[in-house]
Amino acid sequence: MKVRVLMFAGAREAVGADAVEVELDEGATFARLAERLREEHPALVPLARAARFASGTQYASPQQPVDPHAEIALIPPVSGG
Amino acid sequence: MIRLTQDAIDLAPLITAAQQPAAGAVVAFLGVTREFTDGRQTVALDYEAYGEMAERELARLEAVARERWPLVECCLAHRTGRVPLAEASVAVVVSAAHRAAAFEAARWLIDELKASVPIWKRERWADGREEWVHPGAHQEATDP
Repeated sequence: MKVRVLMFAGAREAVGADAVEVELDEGATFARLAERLREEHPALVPLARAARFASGTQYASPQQPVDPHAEIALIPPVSGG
Repeated sequence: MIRLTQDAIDLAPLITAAQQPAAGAVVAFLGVTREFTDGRQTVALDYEAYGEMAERELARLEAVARERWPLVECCLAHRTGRVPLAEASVAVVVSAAHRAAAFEAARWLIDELKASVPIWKRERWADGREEWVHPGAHQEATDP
């Protein structure tokens, strides 16, 4: 399945785009999505290990299966406030 | 009450909202763009938010705080875009019948906001360098 992942801040700077698409097996988890992103976009490696994912504007856990129809975002370490 | 804004944070209406007859204590916190960090000089901070999720997280933090403490009012406001020196990027205003709850809740709220709300700051240093702030991320993949 094709999964679109929104990019913010340093991640957007690293890939040069607001979003990237990766191919992912059906039923794959967010942990697997992290691996695929690192494979396809090595520039994300420094950020990816400490980053989380969001699905439908809620944090997703690494073991959660990826729903390709939800809005998925890579959330690099936050620095608000 | 939560707010994401591109305008300067106006504290007065947040305090007015928090000042109610039931609240003996009002606590306000402002996070402000600071000039020096470890000897390096900042000229400005730029903030970016994942808007829909940031609002959802701010609302969640307010809801959790209201469950943990008997709050009368709870206001969380964050500014996006350029925040110059000495201006506020974030405001936390809480009120409660007594000050213990107000102080504790305000402290918890800013700590949690900084840990979980999807907002990022970009440092603009006086030497011309700019960088996104991502705590805990490796600086370079090639670092030993």
